[in-house]
Amino acid sequence: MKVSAELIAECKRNKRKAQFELYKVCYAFMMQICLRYNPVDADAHAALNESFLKVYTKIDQYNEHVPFALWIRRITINTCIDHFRKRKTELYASFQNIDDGPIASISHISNDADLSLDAEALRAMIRQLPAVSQQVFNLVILDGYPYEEVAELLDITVATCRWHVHFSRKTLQEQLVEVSSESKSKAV
Amino acid sequence: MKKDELKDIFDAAFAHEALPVDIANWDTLAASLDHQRRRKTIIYWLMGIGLIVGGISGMAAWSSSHLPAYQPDHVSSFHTMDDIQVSKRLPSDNSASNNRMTTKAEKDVATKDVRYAQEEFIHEATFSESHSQSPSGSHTASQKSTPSFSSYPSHASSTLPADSSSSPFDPTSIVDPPIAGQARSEDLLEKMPLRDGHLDAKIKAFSTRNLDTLDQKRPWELYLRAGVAYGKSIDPGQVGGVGISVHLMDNLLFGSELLLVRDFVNLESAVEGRTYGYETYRQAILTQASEMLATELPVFVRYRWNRFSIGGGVTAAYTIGARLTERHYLSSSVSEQPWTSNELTDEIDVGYVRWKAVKPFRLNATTDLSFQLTDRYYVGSRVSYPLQDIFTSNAVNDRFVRLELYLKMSLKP
Repeated sequence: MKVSAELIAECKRNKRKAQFELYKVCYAFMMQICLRYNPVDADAHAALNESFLKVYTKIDQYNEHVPFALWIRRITINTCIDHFRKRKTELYASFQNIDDGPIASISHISNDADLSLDAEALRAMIRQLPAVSQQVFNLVILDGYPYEEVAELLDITVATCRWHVHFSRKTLQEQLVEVSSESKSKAV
Repeated sequence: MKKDELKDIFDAAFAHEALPVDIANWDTLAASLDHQRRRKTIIYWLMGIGLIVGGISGMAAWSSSHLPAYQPDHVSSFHTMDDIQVSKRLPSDNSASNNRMTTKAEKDVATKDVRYAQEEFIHEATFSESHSQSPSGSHTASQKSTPSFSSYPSHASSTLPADSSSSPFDPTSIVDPPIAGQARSEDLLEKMPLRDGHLDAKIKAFSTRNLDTLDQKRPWELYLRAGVAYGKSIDPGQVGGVGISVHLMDNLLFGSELLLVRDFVNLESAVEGRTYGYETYRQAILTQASEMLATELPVFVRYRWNRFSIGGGVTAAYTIGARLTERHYLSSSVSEQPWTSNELTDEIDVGYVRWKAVKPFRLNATTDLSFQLTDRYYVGSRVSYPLQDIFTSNAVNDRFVRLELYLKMSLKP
């Protein structure tokens, strides 16, 4: 994703054409984040529109020394977290129902190149996780947020945050092993 | 599988994902942007209207609670001056006109002067009467039947145009009180330079800009405005405040401002007075306003043509207060007396008050011409003409035209 300084300058002047150009350039990048953080596509679209509105209205505050992609990524993630907070009660209710059983060992997976899964399938795996684990996994593993910040964002303790990371990693690894073994058996 | 390996799997997958742009969603987003912009505009308008209403209400409340209401009092100059906290001066002594007596010592001195002058005046009046050709009986009766006359103002003798006790009365020295609403400087207004020259000056800052498209970028703009105003006096008044202009369509703009105006004026209101001593003496009070403080709320529509814009509208004005001077004139039907006609007997600096003779709320018709110097600065002139008389009860046409020259600075570059 490359956004020129001219395009940003035009957007700062509220030029609708420039805003449309920015939308086209940033759509995929932002939509990907929204789809990862929101369990339903409709929610992802709502979060995307809200993120774009924030980008357009706050673009005056954009500091040119910071990469634009980083700036809009931060805005999108924050918007998604805000959406998550709004439906937190519902999400915690669903979290209570998960099966907290032992996770199978996946130490036999030696070649990660075998795991060439498409994004849609991986996103489906993330969406199968409990809601809070989804958010924690996205924030810590995929977006590189520190535990402390994630704990603060989601209003949980750091220990809980670590547990969610551990849980989601194990779950996803298990699923990846299953997928891998299935693909191997098909190949044989 | 390590933590980083898991991240790599996801990153690799997402990096190669191509999500098609949802163009249909853009329409929703654009509509939301329009809605947000409209909502913002409405909020700004509501804030502006609230500010204006609050400001005017605050000023009205302040002026009614802090400024005393002024009404000319005929009797005041006929009483002892003990309780009157105002200063008096000779007509020729301009520098002393605005001094107030504030200390008791000053009042005491004035009171002594008053009594001394009263005695002198009574003596003088008696002397004049005794030499008049009118029936002396009636004049004596009139003097005696006017108890308030015994406290004639202190400087009665000193306000006479000449030493009346020693020289004969000169009828040509009589000066009639000015008529209400008459401008002191109307003839000078025509000589006011409009400074057209600089409007044609080439502004370097403009050479690289496209002004025709400048307005399209600004749906609305806030600005500060300050200027000088020429009205009923040659002294320039001051105008300052904030304004907003909103782009209606093409070259048409709507604008409103909240201004604080300090006018140096020469507004005069004469109250034909009472008679004393069986209609022998007649007192007239002339109240003159030298300054007026008002808030104004002009609302107008402007047509923009290149750098010029011309507009017209209505200005609502609220007079907060006026600085007043009260002059008492005394006349007598007894022609032989030295103070026979319209003699200035007293002059009182009333200070800033709410002048009841003036309508607090007024409407003016306003025309405006401005020229854009740079993308932030404008110069312009504005002419206001009152749609109503200024005085509440005066048949005299007291409306005065005001010309303003101003500089405007946009707050949204």
